[in-house]
Amino acid sequence: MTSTVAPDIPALFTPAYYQDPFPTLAWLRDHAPVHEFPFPVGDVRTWMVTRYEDVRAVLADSRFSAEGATWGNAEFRAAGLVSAAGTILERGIAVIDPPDHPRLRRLAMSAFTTRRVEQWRGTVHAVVERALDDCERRGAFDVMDDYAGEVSAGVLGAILGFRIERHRELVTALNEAFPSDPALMDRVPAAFGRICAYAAELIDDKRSRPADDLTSALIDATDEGTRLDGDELTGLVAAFIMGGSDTVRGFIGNAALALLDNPGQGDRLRAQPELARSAVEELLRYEGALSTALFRVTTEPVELAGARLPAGAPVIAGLLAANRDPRRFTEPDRLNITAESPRHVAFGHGLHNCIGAALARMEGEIAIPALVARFPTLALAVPRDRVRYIENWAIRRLTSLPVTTSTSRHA
Amino acid sequence: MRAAVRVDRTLCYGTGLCEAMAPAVFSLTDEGYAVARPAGDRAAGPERLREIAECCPAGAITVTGPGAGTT
Ligand code: HEM
Ligand code: SF4
Repeated sequence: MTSTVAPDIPALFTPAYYQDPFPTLAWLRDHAPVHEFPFPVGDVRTWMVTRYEDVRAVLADSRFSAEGATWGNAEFRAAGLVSAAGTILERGIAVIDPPDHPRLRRLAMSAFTTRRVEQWRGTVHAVVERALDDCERRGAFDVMDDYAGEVSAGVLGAILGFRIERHRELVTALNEAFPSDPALMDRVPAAFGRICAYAAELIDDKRSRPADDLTSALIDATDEGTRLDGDELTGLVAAFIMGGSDTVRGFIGNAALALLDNPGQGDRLRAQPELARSAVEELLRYEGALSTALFRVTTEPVELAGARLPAGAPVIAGLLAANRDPRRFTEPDRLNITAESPRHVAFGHGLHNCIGAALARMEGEIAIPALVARFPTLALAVPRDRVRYIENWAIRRLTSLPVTTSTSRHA
Repeated sequence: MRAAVRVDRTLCYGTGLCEAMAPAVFSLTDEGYAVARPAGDRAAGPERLREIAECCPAGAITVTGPGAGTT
């Protein structure tokens, strides 16, 4: 058993790890690909998986259940690690197994296929242009709040039909729903509760005043007898809010930083906007918005890459680690927006792979090239070492990304 | 006649969802795309195949034939 990594390398989920996880992930891939360690919340015995092949294997194998509430051991449940425990999201789409999962998924998926999201292309363009105009007026701005946040919330809000002024409240709730600081665990249930309450409110609103939006369409589909009950409908809308806002925001921020760090790649994208598609795939691989999947728990004793896991064991699939695995990708730590790489796992794999992937891709393909095109001399407004990541074990995003533009018209 | 299942590999994202739901029907190739196994459609009923097609994020799975409805 190894519970720590080499002495000069930060242990998992420590402050130093969050700012630069790559040395730790590389060490683990090489020396302890299925690494047992005490999870910072409750010191629960947990296994971190870091190689591409193993990550895909875990996410495709039904012995690794997404239902922590059902299969997690007593220690896991007592530490409060069952996500959304006590709210309707405890049975949300991301944390249930078949046969319930496909029942919810097929209804939810119908709204988000590649073909269906095309209808929102105009919306995404409009939201992006509006946000860019606003940033241009400011001259200096924060990519996270003033751009990525506006785009992700604006698009999701338009699709679901919600009022934008609620967004900041929701962002706070989202941050509190996924803490990594044990001291903040007590806020988790309330945060999930607020997100669910907001989804319920939105559904009530649309029941009395249906509109041309996804929430109204889901209500219709439910009423037409798709075997979905009211709580499941609320849970689905809450899952879209949880899954579709902070992730897109985080990704656009990470992508902007990656292009600032690799100016040649940014120039290339500006000169050849037709590279948007491959650039977005590469940026997702390089630094997607989720560094791990949600917890899986073993339904029986399992042997994985030589490690023996007992039943009920919490397992974390390292998506970021897998996407930087040199066993799978050539020069994985180098950003190359024209690379035709093998499929990355930034959107997960298997049953629970991201429902919003087509939408997230479209948002990225529009928002990222538009940012570099609008501001050819975009530059960091703070020293590079002041750019910080939030301390969260699953979500990888910047706290802020202050930039300046040459078109500045300081008020 | 049975329901027949087909994967359009130009649409497929290689998410592995179909393989995870019905390994006897679908498999991922080395390039990472899904293919329907030869005669694999015998391993699942039309309703199950349709359910899987509707869970696929790429709309890459088509089910045709008796009881399959239009997908
Ligand atoms: C760049 C942006 C995004 C990234 C990196 C991302 C990533 C992911 C990942 C890795 C998973 C799998 C989690 C697991 O296996 O435990 C997932 C699932 C999910 N995502 Fe996304 N996502 C993004 C955008 C979105 C958007 C825009 C939406 C919806 C509007 C969304 C909704 C969901 C839902 C509902 C699930 C659960 C699917 C299921 O359990 O069947 N995501 N996402
Ligand atoms: S579920 Fe769809 S996208 Fe995923 S591997 Fe199967 S066919 Fe391809």
